[in-house]
Amino acid sequence: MESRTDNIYVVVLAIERTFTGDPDADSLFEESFLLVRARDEEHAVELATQRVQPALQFENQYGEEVVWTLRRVVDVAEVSADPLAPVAEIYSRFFGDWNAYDSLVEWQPEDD
Amino acid sequence: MGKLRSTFGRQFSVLAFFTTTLAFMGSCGEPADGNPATTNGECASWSMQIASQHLIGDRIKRTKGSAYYDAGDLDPADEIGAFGIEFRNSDPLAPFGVLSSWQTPVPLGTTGTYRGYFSIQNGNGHSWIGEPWGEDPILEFSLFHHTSTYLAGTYFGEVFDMRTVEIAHVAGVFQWSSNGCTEIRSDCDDEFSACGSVCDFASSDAMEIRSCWKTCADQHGACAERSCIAKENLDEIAENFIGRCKKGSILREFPTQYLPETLEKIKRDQDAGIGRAQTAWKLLSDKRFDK
Repeated sequence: MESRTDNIYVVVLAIERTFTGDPDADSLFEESFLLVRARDEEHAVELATQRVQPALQFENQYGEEVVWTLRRVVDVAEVSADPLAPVAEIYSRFFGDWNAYDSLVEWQPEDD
Repeated sequence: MGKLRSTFGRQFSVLAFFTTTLAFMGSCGEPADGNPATTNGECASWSMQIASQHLIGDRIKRTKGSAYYDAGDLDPADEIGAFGIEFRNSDPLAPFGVLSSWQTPVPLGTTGTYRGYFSIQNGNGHSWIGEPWGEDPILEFSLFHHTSTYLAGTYFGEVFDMRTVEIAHVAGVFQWSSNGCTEIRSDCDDEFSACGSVCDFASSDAMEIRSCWKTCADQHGACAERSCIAKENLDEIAENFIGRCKKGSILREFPTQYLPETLEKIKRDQDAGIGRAQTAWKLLSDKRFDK
C-alpha cells in the first residue's frame, strides 16, 4: 500500500554557524521553520533535515571556511489549518520565560 | 570684464577666509584617513568638471574628508554659522584637491541650496577658488542629503583661475561619510563617472555644465533614495547593496562567490535550491543586519 504524503507539518530546526580554524568566533545560529508535506512526523523530520545535511560550507571574503551544521531538531507539529488560506496559523508554541524569549528576538549582530 | 575685476578684487578676502578656515580645521585635529579597506573614519568621494578638466577624488586610494561646523566664531560680526567640508588627498604625490566650504544660516541637517566657498588644486600647481560673498551668488552648493554622518550634493558656478587670472566654470558632485568608505555609495560612483563622460562634451558655458550636472545630481538623488529591501533592488550588485544597506559584520557570514553577483542572480539560485544562495539571500533579507 502506498504511503500517504499529504499531511503538512512544520519542522523547526536550529542551525549553527562555525568558522573552520576559529573556535572563538562570535556565535551565530539560525532558527528555521520548514513547511513539509510528509506521511508522518518522522518522515517530516527526515525530509527537513535532508535540507541541512550534509553541512553547508562556503568561503567568505576573508578566506575563512564558513560551516552551517544542524544543531537540533527543535520541534515538529502538524498543520491543521489550510496553510494557503488568507490567514492561517501554521505553528505556535507556549513558553514560560519572557526574558529568554526577549533576548532571542531582540538580538542584533555587531556593526563592525 | 567687470565681473572678473570684481572677483579679482575680492580674492584677498577669500584667501583670508580660507587661511582662517584651515586654521580652524587644524584646531579640530587631523581627520582619520578614509581608506576603502576600513569601515572607520571619514571618507569622501567627489567628481568635478573644471576648466574642461574632469577631476575625480575617488581615483586616489587615500582620500581624506573632513566636515566641520562653526557657530559663528569665524566672523562673529555676521553671527552666521558656517558649515564646511574639505576633501583632500593625503598622498602629496597624488593630485591634491581641496573642496571647501559653504556658508549657510540654516540649521545643520537641512538640505537646500547655499552659496559656497571653493578651492581646488589639480596637483600641478594649478588652483581655482570661488567665494560665497558679494552681490552675485557665483557658486552654489545644493545638498540633497545632510545628516551628522553623511552628506551628498552638487555644486556649480564660477571660480577664479589663479594661473590665468580668468573666470572658469566648475560643476560637480560629492559625498562624505564619517562612518568610513563603506558608507560611500559605490553604485553612485559609477554614475559620477558616467556623468563625467557626458560633461566632457559640454562647452565651458556655465548653464550647459549646470544642466549636465543637474542630470547627474538627479541620478545620484534617485540612487540615494533607493530602498534597502532586497527584492526591490534585484539589479544591484550584492557588494554595493551590502555597503549601502547592511552592517559590515554581514561580510564574514556572506558567501564570497555571490559578492560580485546581482541580487537577481542570487534570488534565482536560491529558487533553484542552491544552499549558498539561500544563505546569501536570507542574510540580505534579514532586517537584523540592516544598518
